[in-house]
Amino acid sequence: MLATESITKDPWQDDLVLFMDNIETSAQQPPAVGTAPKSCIYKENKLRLFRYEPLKTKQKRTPILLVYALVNRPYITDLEPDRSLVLKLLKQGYPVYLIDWGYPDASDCHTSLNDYINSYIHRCVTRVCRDANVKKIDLLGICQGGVFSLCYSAIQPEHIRKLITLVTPVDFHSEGNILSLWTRNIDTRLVCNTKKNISANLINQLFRSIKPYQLNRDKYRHLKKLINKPVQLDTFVRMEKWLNNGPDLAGTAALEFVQKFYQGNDLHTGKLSIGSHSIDLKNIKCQVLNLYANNDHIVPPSSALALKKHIRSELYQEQELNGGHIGAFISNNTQQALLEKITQFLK
Amino acid sequence: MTHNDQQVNEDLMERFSALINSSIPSEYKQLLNSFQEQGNFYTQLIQHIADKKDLSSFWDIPNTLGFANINNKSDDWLTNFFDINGYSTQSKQHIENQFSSFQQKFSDHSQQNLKQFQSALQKMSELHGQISQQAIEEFNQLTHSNSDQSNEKLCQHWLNAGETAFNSISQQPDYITTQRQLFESLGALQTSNETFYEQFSSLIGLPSTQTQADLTKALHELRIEFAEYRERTDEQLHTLQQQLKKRR
Repeated sequence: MLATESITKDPWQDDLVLFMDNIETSAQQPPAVGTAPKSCIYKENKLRLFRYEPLKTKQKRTPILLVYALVNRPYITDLEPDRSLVLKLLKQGYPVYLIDWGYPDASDCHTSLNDYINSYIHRCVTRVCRDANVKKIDLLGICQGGVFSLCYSAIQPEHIRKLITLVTPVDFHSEGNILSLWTRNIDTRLVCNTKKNISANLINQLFRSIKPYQLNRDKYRHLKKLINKPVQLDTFVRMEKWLNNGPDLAGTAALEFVQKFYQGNDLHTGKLSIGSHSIDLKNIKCQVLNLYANNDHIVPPSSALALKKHIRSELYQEQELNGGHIGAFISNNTQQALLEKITQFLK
Repeated sequence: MTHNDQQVNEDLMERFSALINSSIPSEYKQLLNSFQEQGNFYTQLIQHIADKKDLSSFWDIPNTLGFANINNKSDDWLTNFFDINGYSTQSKQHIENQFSSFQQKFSDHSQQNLKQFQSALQKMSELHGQISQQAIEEFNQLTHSNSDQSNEKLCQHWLNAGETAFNSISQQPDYITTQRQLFESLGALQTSNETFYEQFSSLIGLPSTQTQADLTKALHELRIEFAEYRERTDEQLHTLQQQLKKRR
């Protein structure tokens, strides 16, 4: 039975009025993102390697290097003080470092996966080792950054003490991987071009089209909640900024990633090579913690959980997190559980 | 709608426009626009449900993805696909105008690409129609089996019906093949555009795209080589410093 009452008044009108009241009185400056104090310890082209300022707490010996995806910006790990994974790690006394890939421009279209993994990550790892005066570090790779971290740990196991993968795809052909279904048989020579970058707008559009109604309309429906709690409005503004602030993707690396991972599923099938290195995940010698989100529409749990098949059982742990691809590590509800698991693992 | 309601609406729109044109940060302007657009959408949805009108347009995919609303002109999908390395900001002509002017000069092969693109687009529109149709059926089922007819619940049903229909159809071979054809034909059109540009550049004596690509590749290799050299030097310096420390 459908609603039969005649609507004469816009039910969102009052909310919009309140929203405009709030904006007029308080929205003079957009809320800041990535505010945890940090300093740049290494620059290479667009890449920046940051070391976060330690807090006044007993410091742990082994530093953690955060490796984020090439898609979107890494400040999601420090979106705002209350949801900052970085700050929470600092509070536990971990020396935290972060790779910021920057915004590739036209001159970076030839940057390959080999460059990202065997050059950029490798140099960042050695820089962190020197800076912290240690021989081995802990790696925390998120999403595609987790894939890169897995590859790096298989190539250079001597530098990694412990590895954490967070919402990281391993089996790209697992059930429910809609991006893989859509891209698997595409003739990449026609769609991607190594002489050019892939536009951030196109990538954003692609991700928004996975759940079109929810991601394009429904999230704007809950205006009342945001008006009643200004803190939530600030979080919403920060998230929107992050979502719309992605970098273009270097053409060569993007093409390789689609071909080798989404189409060939080479990481899972053991056929992957990066540069002159064959990637066999069995070469990973350190302990691995695999954190996956149970409501992840980009990396289905089945895709992340495939890692178990590649790591020796005595080295492998996994943990389910409640939430989606991003909520799993920035939501207040999951962050405490996430942190507890990480600190327990890194002991 | 009474005269009073109309006056309230006009005042609201005036205030909204004033805010959009004010000096508030762009982040808030974007949010205001999004909320206002989606507010309009949901108001119309509720009104259509109340009036028992056809609801199929409310699950229209291109519209949902923002290809036909006030902030995103309908050509944005094309711009997004072709806007590589900030091309559109550097070009004085809109991409679609360039296509119109180039279209006459397209080779037979390019015309074929265009036909393939149009054919894929038509097929995709049919599939979008199927999604809308399936969503209506889902929506009717959900509303019939639930006594709560509040606006909130109806909007939830709209969302669930849409996502269920999309999830089902977008994973079927027909949809996947059509989407692939759409992307490939767009890519082929892009290649045609580049070929034309290449020929035109050659005519007026500009460097070829291959020359430009060779240059950027050499620059990239130089950057990597320099970074490796710097890394080796810094590593040696670090080792020496450590040895000096030990000797002290």
